[in-house]
Amino acid sequence: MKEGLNFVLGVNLIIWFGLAFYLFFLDRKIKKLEEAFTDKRK
Amino acid sequence: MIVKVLLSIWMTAIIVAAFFYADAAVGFPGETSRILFFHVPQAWVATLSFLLSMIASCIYLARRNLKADNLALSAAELGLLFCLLATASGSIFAKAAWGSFWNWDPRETSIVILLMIYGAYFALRSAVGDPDKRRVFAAVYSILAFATVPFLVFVVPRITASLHPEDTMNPAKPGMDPKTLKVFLGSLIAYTGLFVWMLKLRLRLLKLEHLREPGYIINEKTNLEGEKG
Repeated sequence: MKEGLNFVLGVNLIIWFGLAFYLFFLDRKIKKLEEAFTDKRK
Repeated sequence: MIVKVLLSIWMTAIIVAAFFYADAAVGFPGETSRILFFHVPQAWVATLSFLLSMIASCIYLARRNLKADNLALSAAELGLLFCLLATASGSIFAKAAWGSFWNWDPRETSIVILLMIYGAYFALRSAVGDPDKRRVFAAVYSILAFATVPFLVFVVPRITASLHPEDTMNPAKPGMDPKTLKVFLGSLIAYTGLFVWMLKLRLRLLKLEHLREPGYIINEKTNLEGEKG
């Protein structure tokens, strides 16, 4: 049973790290767009 | 940035603790009770999102503030997403515990109705062409939709016989293992933090989308977006 548990833990961690990486990437991209818009307005 | 990094570490710790710190609850097949640390916080965040969408809709109707409409829309989107996740995780538990992914249990039926109600919110938003009318209709609908949430989430599953576990896994009732309670509360915090992070990103995206529209006015003093000129 513990082996199965390790597998599920691994899947959970992969999903979470994938999501966190995507959110950090999105955050950065939005920040760049916001900065580009601010520069354009200036 | 620090808060986001801390949240990432916190969530990772919660996931590991859910499998190796907390013990599996008695009375459930194998390790299936560990779904509690993921399924319940997802349902909690969905309910919180729908509540937030309803409050923002009330604010929009009172003040006609675009920010409130953006918040109502973003919260409803995330509410639907977390509601779908809760449905999927519950379905996985149902397969392991009850033998089938879907059993038309009262709780499963009520969540399907809830998904359809909030799915219709987006259908409504995309069906109305005029932006002002769309926002007003959506706000009114969001308020009406939320009126069904307490009934579908809390009342229906409790007044009918259900396969859904209650006594052993409900933290409001005495008897929950202290280790389980700690991880469960930690998971609630982590999921709420994740929701706030995603909500903020969605709001910033919506703001950028609006800024691309011609004639969009920004109030420099208050930094609040105004109506389109």
